[in-house]
Amino acid sequence: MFFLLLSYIPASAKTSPFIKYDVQVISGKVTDEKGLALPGVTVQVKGTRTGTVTDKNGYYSISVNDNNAILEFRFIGFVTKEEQVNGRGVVNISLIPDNNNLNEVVVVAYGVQKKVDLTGAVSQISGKELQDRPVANVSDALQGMIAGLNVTTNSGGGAPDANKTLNVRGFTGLNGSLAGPLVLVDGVETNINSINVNDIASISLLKDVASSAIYGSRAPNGVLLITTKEGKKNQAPELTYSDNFSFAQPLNLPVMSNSLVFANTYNEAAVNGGLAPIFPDDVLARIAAYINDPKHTPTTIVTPGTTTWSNYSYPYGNSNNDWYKIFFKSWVPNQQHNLSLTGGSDRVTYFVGVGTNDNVGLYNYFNDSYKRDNLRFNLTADINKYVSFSLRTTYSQENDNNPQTQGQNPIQGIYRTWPILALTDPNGGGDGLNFVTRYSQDGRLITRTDDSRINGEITIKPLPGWNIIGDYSYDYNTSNFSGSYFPYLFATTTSTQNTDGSISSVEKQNTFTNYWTYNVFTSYEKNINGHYFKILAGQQAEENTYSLLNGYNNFLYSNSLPSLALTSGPNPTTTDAGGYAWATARTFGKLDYNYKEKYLFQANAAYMGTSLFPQDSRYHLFSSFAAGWNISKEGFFKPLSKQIQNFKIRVSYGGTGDIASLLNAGNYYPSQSFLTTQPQSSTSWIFTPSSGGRQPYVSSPTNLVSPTLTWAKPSMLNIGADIDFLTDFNLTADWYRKNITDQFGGSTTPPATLGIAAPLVNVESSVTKGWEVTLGFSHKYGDFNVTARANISHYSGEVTQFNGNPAGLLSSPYAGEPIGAIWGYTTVGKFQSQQQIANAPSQSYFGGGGFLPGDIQYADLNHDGKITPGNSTVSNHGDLSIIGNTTPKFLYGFNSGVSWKGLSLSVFIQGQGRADIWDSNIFNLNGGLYFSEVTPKLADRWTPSNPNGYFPRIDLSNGPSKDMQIQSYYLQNTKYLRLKNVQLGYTLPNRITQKYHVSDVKIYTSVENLLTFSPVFAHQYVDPELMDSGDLLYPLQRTYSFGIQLNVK
Amino acid sequence: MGVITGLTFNSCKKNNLLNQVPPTQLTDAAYWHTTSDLQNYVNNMYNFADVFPHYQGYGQSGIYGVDVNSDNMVPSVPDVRLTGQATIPGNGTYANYTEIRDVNYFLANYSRVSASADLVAPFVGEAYFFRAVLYFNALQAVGGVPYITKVLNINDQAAINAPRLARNLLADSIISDLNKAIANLPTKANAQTQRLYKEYAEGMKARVCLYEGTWEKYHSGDVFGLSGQNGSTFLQEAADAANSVMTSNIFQLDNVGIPNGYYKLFNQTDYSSSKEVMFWAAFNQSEGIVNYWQDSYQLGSNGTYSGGLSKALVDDYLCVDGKPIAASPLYEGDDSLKQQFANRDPRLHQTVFSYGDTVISNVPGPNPITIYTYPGLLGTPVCTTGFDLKKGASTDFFQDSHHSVGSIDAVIYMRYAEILLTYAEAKAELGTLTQGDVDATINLLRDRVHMAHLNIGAITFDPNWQYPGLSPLINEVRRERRIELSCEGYRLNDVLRWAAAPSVIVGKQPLGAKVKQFLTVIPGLVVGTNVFVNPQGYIEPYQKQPIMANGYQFKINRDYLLPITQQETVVNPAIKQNPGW
Repeated sequence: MFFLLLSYIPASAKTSPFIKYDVQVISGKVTDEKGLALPGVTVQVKGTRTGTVTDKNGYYSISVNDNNAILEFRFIGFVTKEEQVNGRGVVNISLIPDNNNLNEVVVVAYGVQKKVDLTGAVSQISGKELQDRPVANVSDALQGMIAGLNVTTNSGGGAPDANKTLNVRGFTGLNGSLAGPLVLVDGVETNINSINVNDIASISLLKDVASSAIYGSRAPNGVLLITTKEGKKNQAPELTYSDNFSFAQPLNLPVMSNSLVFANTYNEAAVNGGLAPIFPDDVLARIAAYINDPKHTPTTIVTPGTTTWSNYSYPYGNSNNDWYKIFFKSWVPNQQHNLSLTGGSDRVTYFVGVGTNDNVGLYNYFNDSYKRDNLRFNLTADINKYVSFSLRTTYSQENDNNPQTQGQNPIQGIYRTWPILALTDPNGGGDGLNFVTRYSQDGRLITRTDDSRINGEITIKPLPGWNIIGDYSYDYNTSNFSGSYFPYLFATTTSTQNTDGSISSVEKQNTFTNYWTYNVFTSYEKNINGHYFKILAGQQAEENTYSLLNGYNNFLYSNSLPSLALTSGPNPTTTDAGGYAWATARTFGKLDYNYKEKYLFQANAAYMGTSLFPQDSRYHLFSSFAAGWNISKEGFFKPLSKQIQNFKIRVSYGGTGDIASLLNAGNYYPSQSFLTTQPQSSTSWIFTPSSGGRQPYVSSPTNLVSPTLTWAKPSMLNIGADIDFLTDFNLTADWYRKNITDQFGGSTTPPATLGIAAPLVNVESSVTKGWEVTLGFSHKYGDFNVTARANISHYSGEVTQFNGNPAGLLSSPYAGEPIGAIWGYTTVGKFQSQQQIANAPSQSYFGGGGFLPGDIQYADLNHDGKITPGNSTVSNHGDLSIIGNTTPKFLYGFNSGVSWKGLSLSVFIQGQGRADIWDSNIFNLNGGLYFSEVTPKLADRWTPSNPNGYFPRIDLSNGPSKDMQIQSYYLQNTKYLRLKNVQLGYTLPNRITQKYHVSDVKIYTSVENLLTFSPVFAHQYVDPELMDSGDLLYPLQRTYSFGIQLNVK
Repeated sequence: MGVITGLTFNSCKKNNLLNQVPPTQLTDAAYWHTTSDLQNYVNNMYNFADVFPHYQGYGQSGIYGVDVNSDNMVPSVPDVRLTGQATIPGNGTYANYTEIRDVNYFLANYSRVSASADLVAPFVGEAYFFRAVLYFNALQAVGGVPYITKVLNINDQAAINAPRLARNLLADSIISDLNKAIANLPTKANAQTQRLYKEYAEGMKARVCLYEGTWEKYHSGDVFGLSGQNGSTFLQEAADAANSVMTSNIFQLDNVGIPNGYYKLFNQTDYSSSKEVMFWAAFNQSEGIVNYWQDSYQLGSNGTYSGGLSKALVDDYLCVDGKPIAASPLYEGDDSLKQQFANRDPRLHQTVFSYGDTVISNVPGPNPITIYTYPGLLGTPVCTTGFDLKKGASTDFFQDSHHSVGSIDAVIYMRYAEILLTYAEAKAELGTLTQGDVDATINLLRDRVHMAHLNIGAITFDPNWQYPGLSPLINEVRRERRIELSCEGYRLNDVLRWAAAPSVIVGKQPLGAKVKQFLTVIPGLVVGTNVFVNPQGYIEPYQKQPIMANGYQFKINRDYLLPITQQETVVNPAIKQNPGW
């Protein structure tokens, strides 16, 4: 679509005189400013539909019937040039590169637009900027690249199959949700992480509602338009190969204290808590002996009177294991390979891309991996001068392979594993309570996802300026899951083959997603005496149908082949529960107007229906308006034009509808109610004990339904400016205010007597405000080419209406609450004496056996002589106050590159400003005996001899209730600055490589996540990005990579 | 273009693309056709954890661990309610109206199924039973609550905002539902296994009536009482309902006269053939429905449950001659567990571990049996008092989840012994208990364990009677109930309904065994370091808990009832908070 529409950007409307002249053929060559041939340049006789394209050597020929005809030469990245023929037969032209990004063409909804004509908030980057990095998927590559596109690590952490979370401009609901944008690849909704980074030509982000409103209720949270590569006309076939080999190491892996420190710390915490020391002296002696001489000290001893090796109870193991080091490899290799073929004749262009991406996970003993293969084939053909056709097909396969961990998070498993636990007993047998023993013998979770898509588009151009376009896409996605579960064996003194007694099982699940969509739209554009109009109207519909088939049985015949056919369990289960379908239909229209690109105006409307809502409330009309003023085109601006080349201000306002929050929550039928059925296997009551007989059951209708349920309604006001100044600089700045009304919530909080939640209605509201600035720089100093781009963005939100919390409880949203606010106590410090405790306001509310020196003193904010949370309500919050906010103050990225001849160096920095996180895990001993860990950072704690320690006195029984209340002093500031990528590349001169039939050979090396600076490391080890999303997560990685790319002739 | 737009608008309205029907879910209209619809619906109620809890989480030991909320047991952390530290929760309900709604929905719709009355009645009876128990739970927790019997919608404002019903009226409603259950349910002989039956519903009615009768009698003078109510009507109903169960002649005590017969009653996996266990839940390893109770009993080498029985409970057991320890010449003192358990009511040693008991049997290998050597005072989990719970302990090695999928010991919800005790107590409270009644109830329980009979004409004076203001007979009836049903989850509710907190809770410091006997036996045990004792040498588990400096601080003008959550008093101002909160 990009290229098709590009060809039809309006030329000047000057009409040709209707005087007949002899037809004359004009030919010539088009070169760049250095005299190198430019293939693919569009050459058009101005004011007519006559046009051609230069061949691979830059030559063209074209017929004109007017000696005074004007030829127009257009090529992306170069200033469009007009040349009067003046009777010449040969017209050679040299085009000048266009460094002025306002003339850049930007992909927008249903078309393209010159940046100078934009009235909305739209950012675009080229695919080139994302490539050559050892990232597994597009979301990884986008982090820090575009102002207002917030890319964050989620609970998947750095796992090989993890994706990052995308969000545009902050909160998408009052509960702090950060839903992602609609991602359209060549106009069709796509899972962004299933596509190959190397197939991308450009990415355009529609940030304001006015720019995305034409997509109606499907795009409340911004639109990411990804355009894939296409061939160019009259281009010789070009085969490009690239690969990337990398080595990843865990980044910011926590550290465990050695076993003696661990045991002594636990003992201290136990004694402080009024308990017996956990580890008596004989155990401590064995632990010390093991540390001094691990070779000659057993890892654990036999529990007296038994044949079992001791682990978590007296007499305990005595090893010294840092389980993080045991669970994770120090290095893993990854690789990517990409091959693409592009080319075109004067009527047909093609692009074929093949890529493979192989990620090996970090787990030791129980491997994990993710592999993705992509194939893309884009073809465009001009059938005649009125009709063109394009066909895009893609296929991708993802293979995800993980250890069976029975729903447990292995990282939490590490966190809670005591270092004294033996990895293997003195005979080399596996310990029975050790996660390595367990997971390494357990089954696998294997998913293969296949996605095939075909998209056909036909474009008809009956008259100059009039386009009719229709497209249809069909996507078929299947996933094939196989999960196996095996009992594991552990060792005792008498046998290494003791089973844990569990029963092997296998689960298979196939899912099928059918998605189709069509768009039919027509546009007409005309420029009359500087008044440019474009109107567009069309309709779209889509349907998504999901079904699944799941089978489960236990008692495998053999663990080596987990198949349902090879099970003997008496009660296999199969189900297709969970299938669903939803659909939307939409009619839309758009009007663009500008006067000499000086005054700009745009209006959009979409009339939208969806299957989610009751018949009478499912349609709604959404509209938006935008205006711009290119001040630099005014006469009065002329004196400043040396300093400021372009200056435009823009304003837009629009509304749209949101069902994404329902779809994301899996609520496909919010306006229907069901009796939930359960098979006998999910009941806990046994009706016939002799046979183990259970019975199925049915529950009452799940929910009350409101007949007026309809869309949530986000609207956004956007004010922005684009400035090009001092020749080399460009700046884009935007401010916005997003108001989401009619969010879904209970109509009221009913008394408990209702016995069911109030029906979902449209009642709640929230507001998000923010700004973004992008500053670019580009300059040539002789052979040095320097570019830089910095972006920074900020958002913050507030709940403006919430009905579900009549008591004003702080545990629930309330009107006026800043989204992300953290309520907590204010820390005064640590008590240093009993006297101080006696004189301080009473803290007996926290119970926990009274306070002692080393415990935390909280501030009596309301001066009532005691520390309490009041009623924990907004009106009575005692000594609680808002002590922080989880929302980052700002997010930023800085990209710069220097090139000199064949050498290039690029540096990419990314990070975020202050964000507060309450993470009780930093206290290490917060989870009692079995859910705590001891790290060297915990040494910095209060003891009588270390009264200024960071952490409070440790207390195994009462510490959490007394000292780990959410409070100001221990909020962690997860701001960070990350040297995200540094890359050094060298492109070999073509004169050397040409004899081997290759050209543009680039070799490069890069480091991803090289350095991270953050205050969070002062008191713990976890990466700030992981802390933001839950702490005990799969570690991120630092990756060293080497790559090559070349063209084959 | 206008044509396209017009077409679209018209086609949208008719478009069945936007009328999507879920492919795998039932709607109300598609239901209520056959009696199997009724059965499937009622099956769900058996999963109500409030009615039939399964105690399936780790760290639980079934009904045998429930008494940590009372003066019978001493958990490692003192109970929040007993210490007077409970607070008003922000939100949450005070009665399970979600499950009550489930029942009401059934009762509003079952008649849409056209089938003969005898096929429908059992399910209707079951539904009434469940609703009764759900409201009884609320009655015990917070007192009277709004009585909802319809499926409410959001616009039924009057019903949603109803005020609390007086507790005696709520009790009447519960009994009315139980009467409907009794009328509709089949007798045990005609009922399907593990489904509700008439005599069990009668037993439940006896339990409810005894509860409310004694509550009204003993709270009549305090803020929780009802003026003009002395509970006698309910007490008579309790006696009648218990009598009806007794005269059905289908129940009797198990293991009478069998050595260790009382202990063996509690660690069974199947009560299908029991004459005593009236209702119970089964587990099944191959179905994966298991519990982890035996992990608690068997985890340490010494066999222990996290907690420990209180000295107060142990001292309440009579000597085998039927006299209290303060009066019996047979009492050997408490310097050691061995002496302490000698010549006592045999139920004591069948409830608490002592030396020589088998803790684990069937251990693979050369040592198939683990013998009890000492209490797990330093164990994990810890035995706080030195009195290790034995009731409910299975010695089967393969009941511990470390050696199998988990334990399948069954949950007992009601046994016939409770009916006998209810009958005796109700009659004693009514003042009509005869020696014949005692012989038909309490003395049957004593016969099982070869314990001397209770002779109401010759009750030995006990200087330690817990309720010195009440008659010796009521003291002994209550003692019998505490002993027979110890550590089965009855104690807290008994203390609450008897308004007995001033006697047994307030200001009490729970104690354990004498520590001296363990010092040479348990390696690493050091007084003042990992075990704390009072001046008399008894283990005092809470000595280092400042909150327990003056014993339990249960507030007698407040803590007999739990608070209504904050939110509920706000959204419905007609809901008045309980006294003292």
